[in-house]
Amino acid sequence: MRLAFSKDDEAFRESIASWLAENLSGKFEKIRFRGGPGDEHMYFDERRDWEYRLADGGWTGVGWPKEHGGRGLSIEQQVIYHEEYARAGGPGRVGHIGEGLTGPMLIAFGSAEQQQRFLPQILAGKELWCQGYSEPGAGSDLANVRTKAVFDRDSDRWLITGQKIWTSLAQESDWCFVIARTDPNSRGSRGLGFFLVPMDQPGVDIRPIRQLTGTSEFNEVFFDAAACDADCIVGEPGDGWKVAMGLLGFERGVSTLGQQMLFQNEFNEIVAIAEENGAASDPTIRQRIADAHIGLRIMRYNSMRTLSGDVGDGSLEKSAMIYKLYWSTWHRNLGNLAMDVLGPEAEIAETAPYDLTRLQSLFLFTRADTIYGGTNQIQRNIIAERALGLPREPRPATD
Amino acid sequence: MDFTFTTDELELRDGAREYLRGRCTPETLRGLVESGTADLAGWPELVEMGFAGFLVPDSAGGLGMSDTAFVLLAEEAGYVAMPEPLVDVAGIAAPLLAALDSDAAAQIAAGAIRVLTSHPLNPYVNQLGTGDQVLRFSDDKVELIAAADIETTTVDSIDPLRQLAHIETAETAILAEGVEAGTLAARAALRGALFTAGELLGLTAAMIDMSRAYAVERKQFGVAIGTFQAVKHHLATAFTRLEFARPVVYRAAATLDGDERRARLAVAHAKIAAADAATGAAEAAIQVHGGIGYTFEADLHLFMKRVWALCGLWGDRHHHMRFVDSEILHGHLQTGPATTFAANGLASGQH
Ligand SMILES: Cc1cc2nc3c(=O)[nH]c(=O)nc-3n(C[C@H](O)[C@H](O)[C@H](O)COP(=O)(O)OP(=O)(O)OC[C@H]3O[C@@H](n4cnc5c(N)ncnc54)[C@H](O)[C@@H]3O)c2cc1C
Repeated sequence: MRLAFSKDDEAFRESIASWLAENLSGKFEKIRFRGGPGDEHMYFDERRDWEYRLADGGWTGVGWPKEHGGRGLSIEQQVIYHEEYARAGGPGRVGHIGEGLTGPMLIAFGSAEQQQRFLPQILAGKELWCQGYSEPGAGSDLANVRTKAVFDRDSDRWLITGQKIWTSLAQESDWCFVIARTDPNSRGSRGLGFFLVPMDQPGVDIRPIRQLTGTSEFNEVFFDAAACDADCIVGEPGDGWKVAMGLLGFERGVSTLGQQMLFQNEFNEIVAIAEENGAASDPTIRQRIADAHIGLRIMRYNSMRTLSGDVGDGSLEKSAMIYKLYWSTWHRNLGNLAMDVLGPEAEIAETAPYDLTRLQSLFLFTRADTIYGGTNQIQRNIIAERALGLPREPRPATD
Repeated sequence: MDFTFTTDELELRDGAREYLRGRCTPETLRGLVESGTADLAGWPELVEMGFAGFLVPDSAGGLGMSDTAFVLLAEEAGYVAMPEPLVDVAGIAAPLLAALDSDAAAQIAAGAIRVLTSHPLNPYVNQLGTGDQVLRFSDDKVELIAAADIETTTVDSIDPLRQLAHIETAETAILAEGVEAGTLAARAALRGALFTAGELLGLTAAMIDMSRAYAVERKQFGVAIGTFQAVKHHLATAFTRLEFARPVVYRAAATLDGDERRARLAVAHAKIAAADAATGAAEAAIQVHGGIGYTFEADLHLFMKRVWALCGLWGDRHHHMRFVDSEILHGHLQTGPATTFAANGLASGQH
């Protein structure tokens, strides 16, 4: 165990910090600290420009292997990158689904052609992605997807038909990765395929869903014989579940580091307000602030341990399972703390009509943290059954 | 000792329930949200049912009901997330004006005017645009202000059905000053916190009912999600908190007219218990609803946002907690045998 940064690492810190200081200014000044979770609808165009700027500087895909166009940074340097990005107030990344999920998925499961076709576009910030997993009848029971994929020999393309729901940022995305049933007679996790579907086509209809926050980050997406090329299936028909689950694993990977730095910023803001408005003199608030800090450190150490790699006994794989449950619960509590620190002012929106303050959005968005990406209940089932080996809950076959 | 309500009180509650659930439906609420108005068209009906003058004495044309009974009414109003400022007008302003022998109490009961409240505990007045007068409390003055003479700045609440404004300047008529005013302000605060606790109980019950219905209807893995123990436990916990909060609130209501410190303590406990039950239920309700719980389209958000707003109103959790802890640690609160119903929790003779 070596828990320190090297000289090289510190030099790297200097280089990213100064690049950010130089670039995250001028027209980008107003997007500093913006566009994070719950705030993703804000300054989209500016943040898209920012994505190009990052790409030009070579600051996208920093953790991707060099052979795939990434920077291939060590874990330490990725930590530093995310620390400095957050410290500088780097805005929420419009390309985060592509960089954090699609890219690693293609690197792990994609063909060489798919990698060449898609990875450079993600790195360049040119193609944005969304995630087409959930359906009205397939939330926690994801394997119950009904969307169908049929191969059309005439056009040599896959035709996708069905409905996805809760698809975040679909309206801004160029591509969607979609789980769909390739074997119409199959049930559950068998007989699924994993597709890369272009969004800008007549067969795709995107309807925004209004969220608690009053804004619409997520959507219903209707596919009506939406087409994708024959080579836009990842793996073989029938491999869909394996790829889909592998992708979910990446959510617990390096992207957690960046997320924690955002959490740190939120935490700092809450502490600053508590000091300013006097809430920090309240002993229970003080203790909750201390608790929140402790939770942040726990997540940090846990992530770094996970990223350092398994020692071979599988214990890390188990420790990774606790991560989603831990951070979502921590973050929800942080949202509660933010509102309690604000006291009666917590009720007051920034401006009419219904423009919420950042902390109000935080409070609301943290209600969703315990739902998307596998609800807390599902996470607990996974921990109990897979990490602890408890008997499986009775799960009736889906019809 | 008797924790039950009279037949009269229960009949009034049932009448209120039937009327409010029929009239103030989620569709009505959504209509108001969309139009962005505080439509109080239903107020004359509330007056006719006697709700505006619920706490006004018979002699002034009211129903002359008890504070405990008003808690039941507040619960029903909370259950439907009623936007009308019933607690302000009927629960706080009317009885205090009646106690001051002001004609305004009778006018409220008759539906001629609506009197809202402004209090140091709350930075903003709710539904100011719909009131005729505002009863403004401060530590050394109680004033009656004609709404027409007020300059205000409006702000948006996170609850789309609360319309908040801050009073900038106003012409006022002074009703009380000095010590008397301080006492009145304290009593207004007690009423406000207590009846808000009542509304919170109703909101909690509504969110539990909605979630229960959803847990029965929504299927995953081929069965109703209510089949899963994790879902059951969420709702059972929320329900337990609610039922444990009820007697606390009822007890506080029965204490309201007695010794001030005793009432203050009971009300603090009531507000805390009801707010905890409500925030816990809101969290559980969204969780049980899954993705749908995070939408503006589902009714749930209107209820959880009302909870969010009411938790900070008339003193937030910490405000009330401070009073309770200081009574225990620095005050004279005695616990133990023979103190359960003793004035102020004080052993006899120590008053
Ligand atoms: C803000 C937000 C963004 C999202 N973005 C995306 C996206 O980009 N792409 C995408 O595909 N999806 C997305 N989702 C969808 C998300 O993944 C689902 O909401 C989630 O998987 C839960 O599914 P559901 O909403 O159908 O709830 P349900 O599965 O119906 O769950 C309802 C309740 O039942 C419980 N439950 C269900 N099954 C069990 C069980 N076996 N044991 C115990 N409890 C159980 C759940 O925990 C929950 O409390 C998003 C959701 C949100 C809120």
